[in-house]
Amino acid sequence: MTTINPGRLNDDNVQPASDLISGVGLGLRSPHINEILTDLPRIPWFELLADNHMVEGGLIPVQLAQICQHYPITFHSVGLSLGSVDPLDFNYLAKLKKLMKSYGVAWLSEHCCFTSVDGFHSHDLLPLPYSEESLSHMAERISQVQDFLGEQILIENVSSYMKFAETTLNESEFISELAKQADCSLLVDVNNIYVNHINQGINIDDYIASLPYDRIKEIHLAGFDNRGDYILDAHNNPVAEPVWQLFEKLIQHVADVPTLIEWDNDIPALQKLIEEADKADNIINNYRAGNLDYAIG
Amino acid sequence: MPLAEIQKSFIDSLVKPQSSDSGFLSQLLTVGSLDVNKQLYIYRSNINGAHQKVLEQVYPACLNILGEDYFSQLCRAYRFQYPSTDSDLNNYGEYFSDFIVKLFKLDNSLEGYEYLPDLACLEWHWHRSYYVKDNPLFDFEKLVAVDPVLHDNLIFTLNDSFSLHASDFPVMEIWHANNKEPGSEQEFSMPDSTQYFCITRAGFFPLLEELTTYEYQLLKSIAGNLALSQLSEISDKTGENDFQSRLIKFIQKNWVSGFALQDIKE
Ligand SMILES: [Fe+2]
Repeated sequence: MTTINPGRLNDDNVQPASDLISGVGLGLRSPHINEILTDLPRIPWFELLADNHMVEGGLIPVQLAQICQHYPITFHSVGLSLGSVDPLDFNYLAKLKKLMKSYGVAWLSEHCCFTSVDGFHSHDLLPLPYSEESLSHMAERISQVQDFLGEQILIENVSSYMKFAETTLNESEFISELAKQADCSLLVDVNNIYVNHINQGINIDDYIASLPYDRIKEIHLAGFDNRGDYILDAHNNPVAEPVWQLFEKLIQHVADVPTLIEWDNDIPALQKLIEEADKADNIINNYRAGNLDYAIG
Repeated sequence: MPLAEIQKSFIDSLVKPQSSDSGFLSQLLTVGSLDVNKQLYIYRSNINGAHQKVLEQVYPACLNILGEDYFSQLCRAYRFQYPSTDSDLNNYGEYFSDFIVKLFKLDNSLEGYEYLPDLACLEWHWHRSYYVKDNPLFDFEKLVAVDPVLHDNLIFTLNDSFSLHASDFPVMEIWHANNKEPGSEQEFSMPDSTQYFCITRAGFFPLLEELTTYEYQLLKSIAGNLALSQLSEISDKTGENDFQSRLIKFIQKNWVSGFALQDIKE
């Protein structure tokens, strides 16, 4: 088990926190924290929802410190509202920065979306029209955040149930160009690509083929909910078979990129998440061994 | 349409009742099987579900009493009346008690549930006390160092997780029955006098404790920034003679966690 020490980001002689993130990690969820802290299962890294850990007191900050003593962690946030036309919330950013430095968080990822405008918060990932205006606006905001944090962040493609009349670029063009203009990294959520494929008919092969692979630093896998006339990115199910297949296509370009299992609703026992991570591991190992007919059991 | 206008009409159609959709819907294209109304519906129902989940977690006793259907209607109405203005979802639901008070004027079916605002207030503070910032323990050395001549000017400060409650209804029993012991007796007799209690965080977890009338008065006065000399006067008026032991109890329980002298806060 790798251990990391809080504050090591400030020490030039120590391995950068981001080097410790490899293999298939899990999204840390509160029902599993006690079990993890007691049993210390062999999980290479955890991604934490930063917004859930920004409270000032009580048990949560104590648990965060304990988790960091045993596992490398990354932060995933939902509250930056990067695409919003409202001013950036620098109080929120300052809290994030402080936590990241204190606990040696390897990196921060956020979504290609907005969550609030005019002071109202939807607490949902609202899509942007994929237009030149959105592109330059998002790129500028990401640059501001990176300047403030003093490091690159990762931007994740979101599931979307809307298509705007103002949209002129397809999604993969938009995020590829965004990464270039903002000089940021990408987090590719495979389930979100599949959800948008089913609901909006986006072309999966074109999408994967057009991504800038050298900017991809993390992959997400999750389950969706079938609602009949659409599928919802509900993170309440195992990863679906077509999403595993899409993952296999993607890792042929980025086999060494860390992968993460997300599960947020109807959260099962930790063992179930570990089994999902093992499936992802098997696919990666089979690809590396030159066996494309992976067995996911 | 500029990005700012699109975002504004999008959020309007989410935080306001359905009547205000038309401006935003004209910005959407039909895609696949999803017509423009369906696209917006998916976001509305997602957001509604997420907000309702928060309220269900914060107000489990209210949910148990009102039932899922009615509680879900309340959540919907609450979201439109008090849209979230904070990126932190832990702060969502703060005005649920006020909302219920207003509801009594509009909804006869709530007759018999007059205790609900007090119960909601209890549940909000229970939730809040779990997260608020930690306070350092009371600094006795610093207190000893204060010149005795100035003692009358001491103003004590309450722990950030501490809240005071008074209710003419048996809300503590109702809360226990609907939260800690679901399915238990739901018949409650009205108390002979007002119930006083406090909520605070003990270690990592919230705790509810009953108070005497005198303790409530003292703590209320401390919350109102009354100085030590004024607190003593209250004791004299009420004929209580164990002011000091109460103050020590408050400090030992970490309800009182600091002090200030004149306007120099600790
Ligand atoms: Fe994701």
